[in-house]
Amino acid sequence: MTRNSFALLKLMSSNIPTGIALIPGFGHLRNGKIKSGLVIFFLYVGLLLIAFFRFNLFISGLKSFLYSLVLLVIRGEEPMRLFRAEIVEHWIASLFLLALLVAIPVWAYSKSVQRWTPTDDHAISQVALAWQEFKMQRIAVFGLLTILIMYGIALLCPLVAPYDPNALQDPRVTKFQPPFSSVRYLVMKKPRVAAVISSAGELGEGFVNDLIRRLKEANATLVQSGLEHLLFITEYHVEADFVVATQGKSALRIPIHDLRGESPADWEGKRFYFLGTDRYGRDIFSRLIYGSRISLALGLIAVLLAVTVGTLVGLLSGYFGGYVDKSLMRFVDILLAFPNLFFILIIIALFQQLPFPRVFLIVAVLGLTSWMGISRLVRGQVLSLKEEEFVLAARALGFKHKRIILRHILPNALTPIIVNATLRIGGIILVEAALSFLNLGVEPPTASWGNIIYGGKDYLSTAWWISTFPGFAIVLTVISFNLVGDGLRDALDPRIRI
Amino acid sequence: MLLYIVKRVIAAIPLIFGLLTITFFIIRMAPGDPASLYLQGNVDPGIADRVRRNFGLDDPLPVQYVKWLKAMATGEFGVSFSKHRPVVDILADAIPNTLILTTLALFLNIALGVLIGTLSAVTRGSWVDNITTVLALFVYSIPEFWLALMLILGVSLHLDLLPAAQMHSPNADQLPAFAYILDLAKHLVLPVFVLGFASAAATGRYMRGSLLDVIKQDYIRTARAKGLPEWKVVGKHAMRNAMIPVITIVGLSLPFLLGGAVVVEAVFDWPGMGNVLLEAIFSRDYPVVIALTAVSGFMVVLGNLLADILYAVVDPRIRLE
Repeated sequence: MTRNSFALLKLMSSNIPTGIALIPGFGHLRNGKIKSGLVIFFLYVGLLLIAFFRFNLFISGLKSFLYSLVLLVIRGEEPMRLFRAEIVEHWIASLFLLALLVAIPVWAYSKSVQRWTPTDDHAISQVALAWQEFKMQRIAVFGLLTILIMYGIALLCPLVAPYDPNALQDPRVTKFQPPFSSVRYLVMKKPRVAAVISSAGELGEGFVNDLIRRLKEANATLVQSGLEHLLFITEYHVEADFVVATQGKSALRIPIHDLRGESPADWEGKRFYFLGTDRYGRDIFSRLIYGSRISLALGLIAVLLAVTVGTLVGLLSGYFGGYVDKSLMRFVDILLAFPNLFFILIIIALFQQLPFPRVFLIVAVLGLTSWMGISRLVRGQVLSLKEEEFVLAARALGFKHKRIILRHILPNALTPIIVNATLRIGGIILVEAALSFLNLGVEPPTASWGNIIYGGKDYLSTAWWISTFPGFAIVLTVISFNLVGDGLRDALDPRIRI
Repeated sequence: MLLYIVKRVIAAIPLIFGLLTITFFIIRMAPGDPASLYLQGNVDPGIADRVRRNFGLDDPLPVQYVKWLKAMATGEFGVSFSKHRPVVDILADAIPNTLILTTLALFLNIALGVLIGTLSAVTRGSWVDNITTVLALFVYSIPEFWLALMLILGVSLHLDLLPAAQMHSPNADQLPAFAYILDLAKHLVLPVFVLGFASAAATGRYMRGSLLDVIKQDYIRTARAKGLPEWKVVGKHAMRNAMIPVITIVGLSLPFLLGGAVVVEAVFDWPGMGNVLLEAIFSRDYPVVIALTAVSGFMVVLGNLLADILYAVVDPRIRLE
């Protein structure tokens, strides 16, 4: 966009009437905040599109949650039998979407009608000040936006992902489809799996039974979309009462009454693969979206773990000094002496037989092998803060150690901790991807970016797309975290602010 | 100087001691009795008992601990389950293969890193600096294994310029000496590039920061004031001091020389330490896993020691502390 058209847009938008601020983003536009306005507007349009195209799933998710809640209140544990992991996933997605759809316009409106008067600098809180500094760095804001969108997609993934990431359907036809290709299918009358949710007929009358019936219906819609029996084919034509379809080299004769509906329009369809399929015919794009949950959640939790342990050790070590300090820092030295990836691999190897999914082990190992740097950092901070006048004053007033540490020292040491943690997330995501790539990460069939790349590495010459796209996703995520970390460092460092 | 080295060596001993202790406890903490790790499937309890006795697992824990330390100190790592060869022999085969890969990568890392860092610092604020900054961030965020796969895809599969895997061509044994080395070199290009390139980004950042610190100092201004050409000011006066932190990296990279190439070795099917470890993990070859832990931990301690000593060599002030 050139400077001129930008100015024009600014001029135009200043004439927008106040009422229009009710449309998310337009309020910002009216106030001359072109970029924020456009970002808010297009984000909201994106959310509306998701809600529109996945309306059925969205509403069923909300219904299912509501009915379950009511049943839980009035009937206790009984509806628990109906809970399944994928339904909870839908609840989260639908509720999150609803919350965003409501919250964004309200927030944008209140923000845009707010008469902001410049107060003198002393009246601004530290956080607001840091945010102002952070906003100055375009590229860091861009990174933050990318991260927020990625977490949003991860939470919304049943609604965003076009297909079931683990569905294995007619691999003979669907495997190794290149990006931007599509495969035709016939829809069969009977669902793929005989109704998982038992028929509603056996239930009697009454409010509760009615509720259960509705819950089952809603859950059925949520699960059903993945259970429809689709027959993927290369070609087909109608011969009298039969449909003759070819799947690669083999041919099939299917009676027409086994297909859904009456005419070809009812039973035929096309599935579009944006980023192609893998060797089992699974959609890479959907797997990428579902895989983002592993990387994003794991990175965040592992870092929280590392920060907690590291801060605790650093505080104790720096504050109490002497004997405590010496022994803790020796321990840190020893742990730092283990080569990182090597060490992680060995622990995972030794703890292979576990009664719980390996994800937990990986989170624990990644978290517990990356706190040492933070503890050294915190210790350094505490050592210098300990000698500051306000800490000496607190001590002279006879405050307890706990209070001095938590109220006086920790808040002042928080800045480098936050920066370090943000910069560390990228590294942890890379290690997780490497583990998955070595087939020692999250167990298949759960998708993670690393194991999608692993799944494609033997087919590089024939199906390059499998391993290529997840790599871009990893690079984008890690860069974004690093950009935000750099931005935070510059924004939070008071020396630069002056 | 000698006193300083002796002091450092003595300080390293408890570190190795602690390392081995932690390894011992991690192995003991792992689910399942170590003997059951050695015996797969359902075995007669009598045999299991005998195995336990053979490995000294019925001794009290402190006795086992002392035995463990003794075995590690004398390099008795036992016999591999899956290959039925002494672990020491397996390591002796793999270590040179890894070393040739990682040593070259380390050279590339430092050469490229120093070059990029210097260029970036000298042209601070210009577009050259900005581009290298962005590129460094980008390279830093690329997963090694993915970069390796993409290079294989482009360079080996599409352009057919370099081999994609292994260390030698299948017929390498019959080649004359020169052709043999050329063949090895061809196989080395991609893995060395992947390993060196990614770390050069970090080294470059380091070099840039340290050079910028040095350039601000008075003696550089003096050098400029007496009319030295800029290349001499930077190349001779500033670089020498700016290299000090970079030299530390060399020392700290020593463990990387043995254990840093796991992922790259896996992608390129390089017969080195990383592949030995992965094979051992997948076949549950515990003696090999344990030996690798001990050896790599030892290398880290040695690397720290070397970094300290190198530091003292280039910066005499440290010796006096």
